[in-house]
Amino acid sequence: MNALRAVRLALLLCLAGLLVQLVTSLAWSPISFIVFASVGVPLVVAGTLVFIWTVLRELRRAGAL
Amino acid sequence: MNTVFVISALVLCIGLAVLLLAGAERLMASTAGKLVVLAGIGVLPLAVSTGGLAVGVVNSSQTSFCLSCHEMTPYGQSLFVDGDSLVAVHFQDRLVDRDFACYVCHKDYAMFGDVRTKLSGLNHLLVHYFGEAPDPIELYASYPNANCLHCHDDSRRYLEVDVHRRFAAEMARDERSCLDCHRSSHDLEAVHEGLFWQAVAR
Repeated sequence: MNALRAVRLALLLCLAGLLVQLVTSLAWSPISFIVFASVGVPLVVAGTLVFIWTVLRELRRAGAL
Repeated sequence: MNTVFVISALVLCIGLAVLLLAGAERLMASTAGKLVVLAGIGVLPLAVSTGGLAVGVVNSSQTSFCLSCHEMTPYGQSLFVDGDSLVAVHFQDRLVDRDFACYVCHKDYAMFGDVRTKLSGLNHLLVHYFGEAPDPIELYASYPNANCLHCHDDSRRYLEVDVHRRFAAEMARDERSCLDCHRSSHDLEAVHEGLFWQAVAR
């Protein structure tokens, strides 16, 4: 996977997570809080991890690490 | 930080993520652009998610949140009964913050107690959606004295009662429960009989 594609994937994951968080935070209830914490937040974290992995991979490829 | 702030921040983050998605190719070509992507993916969404979680934890500690499950209705009503049950006295005399009345008495006050309390709340949800709550509802373990002593143990009114001083060590070790003497916590009988206290209109 090239860097641009990986960044797009990271953005899509973050976007999906943020959308889930937005929808669930419009009406707080026991189930919406669970979805917020167990789906929305992990999606954002996954997006961030993909991004960090991409940056590290590119840095290593460029010989900076 | 409140829910409106979190929603506004989420909308901003989503807008930024959409813009980044559209212009990712151009942004990744320059160092400044890469920093914008870093903010849009790495920093802002994580910060907003953390803020959202914090707001969620506070919201899920509110009395209205606990009482949003129908199983808790009589326990919520017991806050308003006429009498001297522990719950009614604490709520009606404002000995606890009314917005967090359930949480103040039922949370775990040990280290990481908030996390443990929330995990136990997850179990409540599982029972609510996939099981059947016992009738009457019972605590998972006997009520810990620490929850009472957290507020009362150095209060003058508490210390001036001879029995409290005499059994202090046993109560600290949970060998003698506060509820041995203060038996009526949630007065469900009064709830069923409709004996409610009404604030006098001024």
